[in-house]
Amino acid sequence: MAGLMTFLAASLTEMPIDSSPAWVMILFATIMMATYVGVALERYHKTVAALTGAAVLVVLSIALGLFEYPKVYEFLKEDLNIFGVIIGTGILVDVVGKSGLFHFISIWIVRATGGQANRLFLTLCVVTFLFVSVLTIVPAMLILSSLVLVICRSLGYKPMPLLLSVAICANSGAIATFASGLPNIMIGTAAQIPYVAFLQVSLPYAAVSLIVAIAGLRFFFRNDLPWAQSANDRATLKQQIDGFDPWAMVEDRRVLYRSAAILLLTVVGFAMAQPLGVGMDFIALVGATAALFFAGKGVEDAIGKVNWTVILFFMGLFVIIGCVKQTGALKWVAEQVVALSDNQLSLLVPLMGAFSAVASSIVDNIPVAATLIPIVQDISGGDTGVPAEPLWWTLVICCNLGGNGTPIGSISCVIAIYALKREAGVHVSWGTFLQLGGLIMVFQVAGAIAFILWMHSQGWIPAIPTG
Amino acid sequence: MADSHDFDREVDDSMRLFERSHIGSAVPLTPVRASRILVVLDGSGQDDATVATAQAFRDEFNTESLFLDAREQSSEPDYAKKAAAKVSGSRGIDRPDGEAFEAILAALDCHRMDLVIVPCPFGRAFETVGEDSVGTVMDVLLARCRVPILVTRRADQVFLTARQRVSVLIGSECDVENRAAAWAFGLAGPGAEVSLNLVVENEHFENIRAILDAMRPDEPLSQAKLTEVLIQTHQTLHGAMSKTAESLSMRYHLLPQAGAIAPPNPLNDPEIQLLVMPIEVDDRFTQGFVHDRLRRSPHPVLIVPGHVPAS
Repeated sequence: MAGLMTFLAASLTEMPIDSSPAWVMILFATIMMATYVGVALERYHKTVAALTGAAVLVVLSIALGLFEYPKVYEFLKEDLNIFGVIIGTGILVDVVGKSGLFHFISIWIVRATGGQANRLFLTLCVVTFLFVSVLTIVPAMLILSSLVLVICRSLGYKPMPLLLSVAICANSGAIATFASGLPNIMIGTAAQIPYVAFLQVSLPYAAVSLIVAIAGLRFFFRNDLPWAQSANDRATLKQQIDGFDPWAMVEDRRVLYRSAAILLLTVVGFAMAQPLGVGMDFIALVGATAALFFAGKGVEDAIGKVNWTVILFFMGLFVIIGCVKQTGALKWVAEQVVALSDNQLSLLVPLMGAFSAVASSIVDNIPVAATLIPIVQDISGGDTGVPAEPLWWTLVICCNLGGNGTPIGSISCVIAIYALKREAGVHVSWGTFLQLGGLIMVFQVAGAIAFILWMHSQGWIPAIPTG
Repeated sequence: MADSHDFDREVDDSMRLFERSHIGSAVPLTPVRASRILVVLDGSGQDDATVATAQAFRDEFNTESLFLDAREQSSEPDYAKKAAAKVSGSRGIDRPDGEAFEAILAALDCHRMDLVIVPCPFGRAFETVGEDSVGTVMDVLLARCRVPILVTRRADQVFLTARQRVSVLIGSECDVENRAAAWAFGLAGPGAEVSLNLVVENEHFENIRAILDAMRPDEPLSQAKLTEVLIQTHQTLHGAMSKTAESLSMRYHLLPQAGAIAPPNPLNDPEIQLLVMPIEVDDRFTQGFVHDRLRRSPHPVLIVPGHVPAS
């Protein structure tokens, strides 16, 4: 599997591409941008937009003699391992989620806070970070947003401060590991970044960005939660929170224990994938199979929960990127970036960080990452002398943190704002969110740029193994 | 940017799960244990298991046992006394007149027993009729017996082992479900696994769904929805059982089984367990559910009756 991945990645990066005429590049880039605008505006479903854009570009490519149709399979070959990871983790997370493991853990931890506002706030931020790093954003957000709503209802707290805190901290959790977010999986796979390298680079900054987020959230919501509570208040809250029994949610303890063990082993498997000589997709699919075998009750249901929408979205997206890449447009952009920065990493990293963060706060971070991956490959390839590693990590971190910039920037914010409106009747305006998330994003992205440059200057960014 | 479709249902599901954990101020149940039991013998091979069960009650709960040979015709007049001699704190009693079920009911009334242990099918080995019949004696006891009935079934289903996994089966609303749960905890062994199984069999589910579909075609009833309704309607019992298990250091879990298939054949369940079922004798639906489960169970079954008319 690893050999296949290596071959595919190498074949794509080493593909000689002759630049097409300027009008072809502009035409293809325009269609790509139009697709992204369609994704951003949600006029059509994002998967439909991506597949439509792909179909149009394939037809145009063949009509203009850009490539023969079988080339499309090469574009998609690269995605096979990504699809494996998405399918495997999707099944695993569904089966483990159904065991009640994460619901159990969250109630158990929340009970330990005694219901006190300051402890609850801090705990939810940290738990969100941990859950997202293991579960990815969507399942973690579904669990935690419902937890916050139930807890706030029970303890009489306003849900907005805690729910938005969860949403914003989720984006820090998303950069923690290889499997904690789709952009990480895409970038990690394309660049062949080992799982352990994520623990060395992105995890430390994930923790730093979490602290930045907590500080920003605590300041912003300084008047919205009863931070100072009397002994009587605390006793009443304790009584209320003790009314929650985590075991009452667990249908079968054996399934719970098995699910926890399988999940743990899968995470260890991700870390060991490279030394074992297998791909992340293999580990994810083995974990999913084990979950279905040992802990799954509804096999059909679990397989049905795989996010086929995302997989089809990816297919469309990768075909679009492949077509545009064939025109030489992305290579041209890379050349302009290199020229603009004069091959200086101290300019390239801020440029890449700011662009990917701002773009991700407006458009889904998946197309942003997908578009920037070949550009980074072009910038760092050949004789430019620009090291690829700092750029990859900038992309990983800033694509995820960009989601904090706007209310539509990341799925965590979308879920939180939607849940607030529907379950608590609270409307979060763009202005309010920009003051909160936008400011936090600026600090986090600026910090990320400084962090990457500092790590690089110290020689602490691990080299990505080649071949 | 991301889309927000389909989150409603998932957030709702998750919230309901968290609400399930909010058992609030539910009061733990007081486990019920028998101090006097009537042990019914039928002269079949099942008597060994019945005597072993009586011995277990004596050892675990210091129970006083009265042994009754309920056969209408017996060639061994001292059969009950001999069996009682095997269990300390026990004695044989004379058989009241009448048919077997009349003798049992009369003995219960006369001696003020807390529980009766009865082999089923009465007078026959389990294997002879299998899951096809519980026999007349059991039919009558289900309708008239005022005390809980512990039914011994297949000989390999030893009570001492079975009490380590106790399943309380509820098939419909029932006034005595709390009492059944209290008995379940009373009989459960140390560190036992106790579950509350909320069962709506598939045929029943399909019937309900057909009715609701006709009434509200735009709101189809799913198994998931029915599961949540089952949980909501049994939240108090669930909370009480959860607290009781915690206080007794037992394991507890809630098993909603909406749309259970036909039902899962208990004869295929290799794990020895004790089934506990409440019954309202004036509720034909509950009667049918209990009768069916009893007929198909190889495991010992405790039936906790309610609404029994005065004799």
